[in-house]
Amino acid sequence: MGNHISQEKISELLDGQLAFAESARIESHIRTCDHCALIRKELAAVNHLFKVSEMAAPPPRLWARISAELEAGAKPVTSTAARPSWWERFSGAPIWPERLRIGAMVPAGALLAILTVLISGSILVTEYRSKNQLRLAAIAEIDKVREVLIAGNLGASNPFRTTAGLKPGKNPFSQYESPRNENPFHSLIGETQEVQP
Amino acid sequence: MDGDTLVRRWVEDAQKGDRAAFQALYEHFSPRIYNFLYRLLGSRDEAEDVAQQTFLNAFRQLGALRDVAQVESWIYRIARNEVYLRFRRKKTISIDDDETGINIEQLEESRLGANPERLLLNEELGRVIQIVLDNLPPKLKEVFILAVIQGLSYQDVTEIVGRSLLSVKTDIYRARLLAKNEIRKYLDHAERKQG
Repeated sequence: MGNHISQEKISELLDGQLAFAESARIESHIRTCDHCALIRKELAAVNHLFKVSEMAAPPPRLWARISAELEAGAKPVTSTAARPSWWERFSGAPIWPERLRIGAMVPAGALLAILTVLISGSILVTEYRSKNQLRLAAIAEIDKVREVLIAGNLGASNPFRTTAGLKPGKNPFSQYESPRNENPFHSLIGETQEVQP
Repeated sequence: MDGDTLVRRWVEDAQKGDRAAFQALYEHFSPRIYNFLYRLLGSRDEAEDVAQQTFLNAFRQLGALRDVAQVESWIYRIARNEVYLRFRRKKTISIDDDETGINIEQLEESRLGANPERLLLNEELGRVIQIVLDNLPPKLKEVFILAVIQGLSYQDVTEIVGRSLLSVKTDIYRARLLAKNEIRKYLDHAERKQG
């Protein structure tokens, strides 16, 4: 090999990531190339430095901590492989060949879809009926009010009326009885001074 | 019964809720997982906290594991995700942070002997290595630890970190180069001080 081996390739060689044939070819080149041999030596030294460093061992209390949490209630998610799925139980065969399993999924899936539609539909119908009843009740009340307003019936059936026997022309919100021509604010005149320009 | 078969049995039993089987899994994988976390986080206390959460999550999610043969990579992924969560909570480092730069003073504070020959024999080697690792960009650090220190295949590393093989290969090489350059700088500096 005329050219040098890339440092990245030498890095892969050191990690054992190359195919046997390629490794052999590169090693053969390195034996005859001082430059590549030096690169390999330096990168191998770095590898060695990190590999000989002592493995940090977990402290003994680590399992005690984990165990305490498990005792407190951590539960594994139940494996679906540990028991047959619902459609397997439905079909009566705990273990099906893969093709049959896939084939059984189609009608099972269709059945599930139909059930979903029926259940959702019945929920919607129930909801609609109760809402419809409310709507009809609301319409009835509005009709009552309409009758009152249009007919001008200010009798006892007026739902807005709190007092009986209201005289025509009288302000139903006013509790102050005053003559038509009297200024209801008259008591304030004389207490205020007009502002002179 | 070989190791793989034993692990498979432990996983299957643990999936059914067998606590003893889960403990066996813990004892089998915890040294490597803890070492990975310690090298990644640089702190034994943090590594312990994250390892605890990792194995609790593994216990809770064991039922979702489909390919039992990949249980080790699966646990590594859980551990890595826990580290990310911790980073996000602390908002200290972004995993895509590409800055680097080893502080020589920081290395000197490791109380290493000035003699480079003694370096390799010194029990403080581990601390030097940790400082070098801590100064690698997070993206390079994690793949370097997994491939070089933990000894996983590049394929396993890609499955754990969720990146392409090309990206992983390149980053392992870049990390090795950075580590080499910084260790060399330190040794040169130590020799000059000694001289």
